Amino acid sequence: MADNLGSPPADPPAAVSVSDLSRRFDEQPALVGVSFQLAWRDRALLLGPNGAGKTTLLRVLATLLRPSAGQAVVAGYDVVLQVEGVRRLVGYVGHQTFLYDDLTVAENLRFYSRLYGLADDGEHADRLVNLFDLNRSLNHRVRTLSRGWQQRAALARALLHRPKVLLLDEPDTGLDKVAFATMTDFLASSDCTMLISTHSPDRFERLANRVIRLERGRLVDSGVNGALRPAVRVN
Amino acid sequence: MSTVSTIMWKDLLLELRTREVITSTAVFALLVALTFSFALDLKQDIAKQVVPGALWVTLIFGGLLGLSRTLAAERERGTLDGIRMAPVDPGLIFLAKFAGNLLLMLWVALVTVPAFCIFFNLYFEWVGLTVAVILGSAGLAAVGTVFAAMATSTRAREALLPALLLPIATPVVIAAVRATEFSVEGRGIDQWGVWLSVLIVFDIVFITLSYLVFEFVIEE
Repeated sequence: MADNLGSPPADPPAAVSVSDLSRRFDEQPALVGVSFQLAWRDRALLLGPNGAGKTTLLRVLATLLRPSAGQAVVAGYDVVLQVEGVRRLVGYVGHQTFLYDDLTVAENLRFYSRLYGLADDGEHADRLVNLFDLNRSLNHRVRTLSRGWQQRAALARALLHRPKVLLLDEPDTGLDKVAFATMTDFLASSDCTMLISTHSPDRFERLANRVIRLERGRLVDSGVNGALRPAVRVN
Repeated sequence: MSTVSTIMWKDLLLELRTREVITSTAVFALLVALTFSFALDLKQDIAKQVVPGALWVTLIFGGLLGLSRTLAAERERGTLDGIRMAPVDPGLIFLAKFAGNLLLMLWVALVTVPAFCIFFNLYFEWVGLTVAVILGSAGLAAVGTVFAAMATSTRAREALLPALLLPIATPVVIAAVRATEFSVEGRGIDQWGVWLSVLIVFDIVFITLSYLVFEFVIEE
């Protein structure tokens, strides 16, 4: 499965480059002068208390929010000026699943496949369905599934177009132990660059090599490898 | 065009499953037509003057009922973000939503026009009426799709949508009512004069403008 997501290009050097990024909601600052870089294949945990700006940062990188100031470049594409390029290479799982309640899982995956202009042969989609054990749920409407099964389908949806950068906002929401292990095994074997927002860093500890920590919209830590343990404990 | 057909297929499938919008708009339109028929006990020559306006009032507010719901559901469930995340031209998202809303307006017309014919014992020049309904509905659907997308991010969307839509859509409403008057009098499109031009120009201008601005409208 790892190779199905594609190899990162040699150029640009950084998978994610954030420079002096700020975002305000009315007069309320959500991100203030955040700067960091992620190299290709980095797997970073995005930590911080509620209201730290984690979701805002992920949504800016996913092109769902425009920054108020500063610059963010994902996979070599500017998130404001080259939106389509970013969207082709980014997979995003947010708090909402982006799935239609009254469509079946199969119909949802088919819809997003077509929206991304993917071939209808479905080979990659079939692999994702098998990976997340969605075969039994394929013909069930999403509204009839538990939150955990919906989250499995949401993960499959985000991976349909073989993204090179994954932005995951609390991806373990609703997942049981088996599903969580499946997800982390998959992520561990993937070539994707990842930024994973979580309140449970210990669950992702074996996966991550970086920690980015926000507080009140400001970057307070951007640890690498050895810095991970203290950062996890602090969180 | 595959993006447009993909989104339309999804919307159609959802609507056929839930029947929320087609049922509520049809019931609303029939009730309004029925109310007009009781409230306006008209002789036929007066009915010919009054019914075109009443018909379009019904079409507009029946359509508004559906317009506000279709995009609001996408916003509330977060699925609009799912569509926005796809590498597609936002203008194509507009075209898909516009086409769906146009179909909705035509559905309301399909229910409303026979009701008015029966309740007021009127006959229309059908070709003219069909053209008037399609062109008028297209203009309303174009402006309505954009304003519905804007209104969905506000709390007072039900009140805001008509307040935004109706002033802008006044030219197309007047032209559509005039064209409908001609058709109820049995006069063909060749006698519409300037009103046909108003309808066509309004549609072209607002469909084009809406296509161009939709990207900014659906941003947070």
